[in-house]
Amino acid sequence: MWLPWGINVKHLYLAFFSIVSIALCSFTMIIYNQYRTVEELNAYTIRQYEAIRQTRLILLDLVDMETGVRGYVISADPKFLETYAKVSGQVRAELFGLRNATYNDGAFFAETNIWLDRIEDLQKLLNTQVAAVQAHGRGAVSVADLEVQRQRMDALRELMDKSVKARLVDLEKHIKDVDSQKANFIYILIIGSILGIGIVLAGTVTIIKLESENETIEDENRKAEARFRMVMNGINDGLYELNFITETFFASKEFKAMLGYEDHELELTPEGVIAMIHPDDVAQMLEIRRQYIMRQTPLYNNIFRMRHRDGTWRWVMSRGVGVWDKFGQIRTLIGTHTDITEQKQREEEFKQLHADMEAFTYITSHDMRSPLVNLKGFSHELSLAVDELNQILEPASDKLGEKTWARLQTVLKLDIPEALGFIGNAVDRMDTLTTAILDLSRIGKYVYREELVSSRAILDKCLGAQSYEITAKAVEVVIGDMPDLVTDPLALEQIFSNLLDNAVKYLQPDRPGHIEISAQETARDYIFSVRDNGRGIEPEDSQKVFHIFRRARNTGDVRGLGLGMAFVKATLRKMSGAIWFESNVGIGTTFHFSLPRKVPPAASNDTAETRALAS
Amino acid sequence: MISQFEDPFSIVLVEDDAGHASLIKRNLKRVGVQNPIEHLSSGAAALEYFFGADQPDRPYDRMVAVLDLNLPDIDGFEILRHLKANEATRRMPVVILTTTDAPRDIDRCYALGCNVFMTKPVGYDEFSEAIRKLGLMMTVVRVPHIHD
Repeated sequence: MWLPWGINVKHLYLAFFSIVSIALCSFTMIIYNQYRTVEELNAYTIRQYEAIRQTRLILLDLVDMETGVRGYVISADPKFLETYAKVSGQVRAELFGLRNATYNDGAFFAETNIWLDRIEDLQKLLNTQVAAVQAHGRGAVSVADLEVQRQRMDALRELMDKSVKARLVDLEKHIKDVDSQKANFIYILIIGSILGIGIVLAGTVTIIKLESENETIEDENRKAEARFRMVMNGINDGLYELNFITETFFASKEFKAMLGYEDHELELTPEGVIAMIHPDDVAQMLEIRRQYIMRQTPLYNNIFRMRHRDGTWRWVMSRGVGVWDKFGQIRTLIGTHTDITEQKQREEEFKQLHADMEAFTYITSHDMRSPLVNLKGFSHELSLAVDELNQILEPASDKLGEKTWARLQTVLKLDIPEALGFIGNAVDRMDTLTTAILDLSRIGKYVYREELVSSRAILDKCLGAQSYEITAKAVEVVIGDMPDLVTDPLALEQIFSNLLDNAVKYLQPDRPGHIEISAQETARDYIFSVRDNGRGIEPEDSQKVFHIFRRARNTGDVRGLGLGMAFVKATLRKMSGAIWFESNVGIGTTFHFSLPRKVPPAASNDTAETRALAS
Repeated sequence: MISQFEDPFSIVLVEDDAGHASLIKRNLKRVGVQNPIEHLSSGAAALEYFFGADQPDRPYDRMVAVLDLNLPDIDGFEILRHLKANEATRRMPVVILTTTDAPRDIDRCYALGCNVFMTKPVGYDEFSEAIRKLGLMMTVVRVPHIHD
């Protein structure tokens, strides 16, 4: 999973946890608030009910009082006064209780004051009536008086009933509120739960996803590690880590196995490793490493010998990658050791073979030549001697007789010169062959230069060298666009010269010659073509053309050694080029050769050369 | 024919191949080099001749060495090195006359201090021409005076 701004999975977890916590807190607060609201509404309801109950209680007391007084007034029975006295005493306390209970209801306070006044008035009236009955006996209170008493009582009752009714209306409204609040509460609960479950679910899914991604990554890491292990085991390369900070050296099992040790048998330190390197190689090895550490060379590739447990030296190629801190100080060098002993042995064998080959060509060209000098020299001496013999014998020809003289003349003038002629020719041929072998062997030793050359200029030079033959045979030469390219001018001249020479040499004698030279450019190479209308090459000879000392069958009339094309092919191979041809017998042959495109040598040539020399 | 040089000098020819030695001598004579020729047929013989213990004092200032390189026992390079390292023989002209024409060998000989490098051509005419030129050169060469 890709995350912007450098956020990692940990940050994401933390953010998610914070969101869940905040949501949980706010949810709790909302629930608490809602609970508080409902609670308050409930308390209010209870208070209202209490107020109603108390109001009714007071009203009942008042009714009791009135009833008691009325009974006493009618019957003058003091028993009725007991109730009156009892209730009358507590009604005021009850009213104050009610007022205290509804202290926060400002309007009701004023109302209770009115009630209090009225109740006091009523009590006064009742007390007056009681006092009248006590003083004057039954009938002292008139019906009219009772009527006043009843009216006042009714007014009071009406007042209180109104209050209760108002409270009830209020309560009804409150109950609606409570219901709606309860409904809100439930909605909040449901929405909260859904949100909570949603967040947790989303979080869980995210975590699961991240975890599974982690697992995939870990899995891939494990697989990569396994692959790496497999490769390391497979190629038997040793792994090492040289830590310059802690001055420790870690070496893998394979590293140690390469030197003949089990994993636990060898504890290595940076100095210990150097001690195992061949004394002749230490200085160079440290120098190459130093150059890499100082970042003078871009790649670390070091070859040296290390002592094997069995006492032999193993050639090791060490390659590695360095880690530098921001001050340019190297921290670690991690890399591999490859046992290249076999390659080195093969290299040595190859070198030996090459040396043998050189010795062989040297011997061929020089030691084989030495006897030829004698053969040639002494055949000439012999011919001089024969001449001398002839001169000595000539005056005595009469004495020898005509027949003997004629025989002597045949031997001296024909047989011996003929024999010497054959010897001379054979020596000449032998000399040419040894020279050819020598020339061919020198291709390998020739150091090819690279410079920007004009192929047209070189071609013109070659044509100039063969102008005599071209003019004599009246050959028409057509030259296409020729490129400038980076190559060895001498080698290119030899190639052109050989191809042109062949084209001119092997023309069909009975028709005018036509030679066409062209060049074309591909992404990687320059391809040059030399087309002639000569005798062509038989398909059976197609392989022989490039073989040393071999020639096509239809070339017997032309002198040649079978060397030119072998030379050209060897030269092109050295220059990373190639040569091929297409031919039709009697129609003509086209030779193509390719040379790689190269960048012109730049100013940085010096450093490249120094590097090449250093390596 | 070239007349003999007034102040006669002798030639020391180091050549293992008797045929070559004979051809060289014949051809030198033919072009008129009459100077005495000492033929030494091996490297060991050459070293003995120049540096042997009981050898007489020789006038190296009136001698020219003609040296072949491909000697089977001690090669010409080593003899040349000895000749050029020794105070007595150091200034004696040394002509390398050999079948070799490898540039490496030529460079090596000049590095060791040889005075002339010549290749023995296989063709007789070329060979005799080369020897003729060598002879010509020998008639005009002034060997250095060691004892001034």
